[in-house]
Order: sequence, then structure tokens, then C-alpha cells
Amino acid sequence: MKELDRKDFLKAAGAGSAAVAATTGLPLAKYFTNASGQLTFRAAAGVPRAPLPSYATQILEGQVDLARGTGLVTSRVLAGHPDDTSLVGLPGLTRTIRITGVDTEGRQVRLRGLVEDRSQLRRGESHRVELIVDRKRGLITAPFLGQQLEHTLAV
Amino acid sequence: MADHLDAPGLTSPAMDTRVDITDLYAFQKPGDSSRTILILNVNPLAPTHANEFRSDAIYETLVDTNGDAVPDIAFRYRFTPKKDGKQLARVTRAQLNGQVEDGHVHGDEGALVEAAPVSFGSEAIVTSGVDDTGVRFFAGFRSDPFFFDLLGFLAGLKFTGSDFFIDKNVFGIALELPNTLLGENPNIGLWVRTLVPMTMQPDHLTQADQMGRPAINTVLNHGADKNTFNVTQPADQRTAKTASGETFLQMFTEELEALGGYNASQADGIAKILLPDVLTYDFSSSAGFLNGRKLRDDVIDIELNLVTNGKVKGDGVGPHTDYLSDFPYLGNPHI
Repeated sequence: MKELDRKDFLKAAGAGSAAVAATTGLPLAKYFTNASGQLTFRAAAGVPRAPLPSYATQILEGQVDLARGTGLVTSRVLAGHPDDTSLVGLPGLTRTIRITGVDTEGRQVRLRGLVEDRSQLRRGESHRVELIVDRKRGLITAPFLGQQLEHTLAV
Repeated sequence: MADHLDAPGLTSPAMDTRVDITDLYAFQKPGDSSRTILILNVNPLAPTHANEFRSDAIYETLVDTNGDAVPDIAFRYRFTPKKDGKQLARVTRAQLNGQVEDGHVHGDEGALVEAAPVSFGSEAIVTSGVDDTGVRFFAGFRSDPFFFDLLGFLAGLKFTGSDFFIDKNVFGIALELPNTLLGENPNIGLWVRTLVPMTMQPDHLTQADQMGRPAINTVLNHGADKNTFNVTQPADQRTAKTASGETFLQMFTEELEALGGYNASQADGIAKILLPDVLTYDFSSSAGFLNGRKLRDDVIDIELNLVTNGKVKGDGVGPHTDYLSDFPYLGNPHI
């Protein structure tokens, strides 16, 4: 088998930092939907995305009542690569998102929410947030500094 | 993120912002070409995670006087435990006589500064050296002089000119000294490191962090390789192995090819400038980075240009305006 050298890896990693996070040892809890329709998840994405080395990791943690369309999602950015994340949070980047609506289509769940503390928002950043949970692919797509990032769900 | 938070995943004892080096500066004293200023900053985002220097650690500035990336002189900074809100510092100079292994502190030390109070407030307390050493010293809470659009970097080099560090603080260690204490050859190499007791063998020191030039470890190394790099002596950095089994030199070369589109020969040449990670400094010259590093030097613009082969010219952020005009030059903390 041909050994993958670093250059090949960097090119391949263009598919997204999710690929990196998926191979990591980040201590993630399982994501699941319980009998009462409560979706619980934790997901991570390295930033910046490949081919740049990930200096930090955005972590999403959520608990959403799919039937009622309510819940809370927190987004934090911790210093460190997804496989070597610290407990040091980068200030000004934590968001608490109150979920106000849920649409389910097959194994994809679209979560709509509002950022609770708008004073945290950066210029041009909307307080309206949409996250797409793709349970088939094991990914959550969520905004980060004006871009959509794919986060790997814990399995 | 010159070197801020570059080893965050290390387990105890190194997961400690008190020994997390943020920056190294070295420059000719403005208005006096016979003297040099050495600055070692630690504790990113201070005082969020820690409001003191670590008393069982050694903070060290190493000097290579003959270009072999092996230290010949060490300036060591030690601190007493913080008590009643006070800490005292001791500074020594050691003439070394061999390779510095991980955690190995050797050489005959002579005191330069004794019982220097650490500044925890806005006032910068400057202490003069013992006898006729001609040294001045400062240690304490200061404005972080580093400037960079970190969020633009995290967004994938989409810079907006927003300086993440404009209101951040660090703990600074500044030493003003006559050039004679740096050896006879004006062309020297500098790096800094922090040493802490090993968890299971507290009487033995281990290296927690190390830095020469800014943003080398933070930008070019990945994951566990950051930790390996932090404990690899500069003389060994080209040949030391990364987690993938290749050498750091090979990895840097491939990174530069991927990020900057350099051909293999060009990338190899630049990688050999970046490794060993030593800040080269001609103390007879007042020029800035890559000759030493001044507080106002826009090192990120220089390195972004280099790493991306000119595709990214800079982050649109310039130096802070709070630097002091005299020693210790680091601005007052944001309190």
C-alpha cells in the first residue's frame, strides 16, 4: 500500500477539517436521540480549515427536544488542534443558542435558533443561527466567523 | 499566537499558562548601541488563567554565541512563591559548557539581580542589578505587545484588520544588559524555554515550552508534533522525528510546498532558515526582525508573506500604541 505522505495528506485534507477531527482522540460523548425525542450531541471542527493547521477547535454541544422544537446549543472555541484540545477558551467566541424551531427531513435535522447574548456578536454576525445535523454523514454544519463549518459528531 | 497556547494539549505539569511562552523579543536599546533588551513573555490571556509566575519553574533565555544552535550562555529567572500578593525574582547568568538536554540545568551561575519585586499593578517596578553588572530588570503584569488578527486567521486567512490582542495581557520578563554579557561575537542566536518539575519526579525538571522565532510552532506544526517540537533542542530540530515518522525538516518543506506553492528546492531552503528555531540577532545592529525582534516589528506580515509565497501580504493589523518609551517598554496592563 502506498504510504500517504504529508503533502498528499494536506491535499486530501481539503475535504475539510472534519476528516481530521474524525481521527482524533477528542473526549466526546455520544450523540443520540432518546425515546422521548431528545437529541443530544457534541461535535468538533478544527479552525482554520485545512490546508492551514488547525490552531483551535470549535466545539458544539446541544440538547434539543425535537418534538417541541426547543433546546440549547453552546458553541465554544478552545485553543488547540482537535486531537490536542486544551481547556483554554478563546474569549469572545462563546455563543449560547436558544433553539426556536426544528425541521426534520429523513436523517437530517435543521435547527433554527437565536444567540442569547447579542452583546457577544461581532460586526455583521447575525443573531439568527441555523445548524444542520446530518445523522447519516455524522456531521453538523454550523456558522463560524462568516463561514459554514462541518463539525464531526461524536459516535 | 506568536507562541501563545502552542502546547495546550500537554498533560500536567505543562498544561499551565504560567509557563506558556507567548513571545521573545531582542533588540538594541534605543539610543544606546552598547546595550540590549531581552524580553520573554508568558501567560497568554493573563490574568484569566493565572496571576503569577510559577515559583517551582525556571524561565530561561539561551544564547548561542558561535552559530551551532547549542547554547553557550543562559539567563535564568526564578521566582519565589506568591505570598500576600507579592513575588520576588532572582536573575542569574550561566556560562554553559555543553548541550542542554531536556530539563538539564548546568553551568556556573552568577547572580545578576536579587529580590526584584514582581509588578502586579500598572506601575512597572524596575530593579537594578547587583554590583556593577549594569543590568536592569523587570517582571510582571503587562499589556501583551503582540498584534495579530487571530479571528481572521481562524476564519481561513479572511483578515478584517481586527487585532485580537489589543486588550490582552501577559506576564513579562524584561532584562536590559550590556552587550558584553552576550559574548564577544555580535552575531548570536537566541531562544527561550520554561522548565518545570516532572509530576512523578519533582526533583527533576522537564522542558514545558520553547520558542525562537514567532509563530513557528503554532503555525507549522500539528497536534502532538507541537509538544515534541517544544521539547526538542534547536540543534536537533532538523533531524528530530514527527509523529508521522518524517523529520521536522521534511515536514516543514512539505508544508511550504503545500501552503506556498514553492518547489521542493525553494521549500527546502526556506525550511532550513526556519529550522533550527532560533532568533538570530546581531547586537551591533539596530535593525529589526529577522535581526532580533522589536515590539513593533510586524512579524506576522513577514511570515504570512513567506509561508504563502506572497499570496497573503498581511493581516491588516499594525503595532499597538501603548508601548513605553523606556525600559521595560512593555505597555501598562489592561486592568
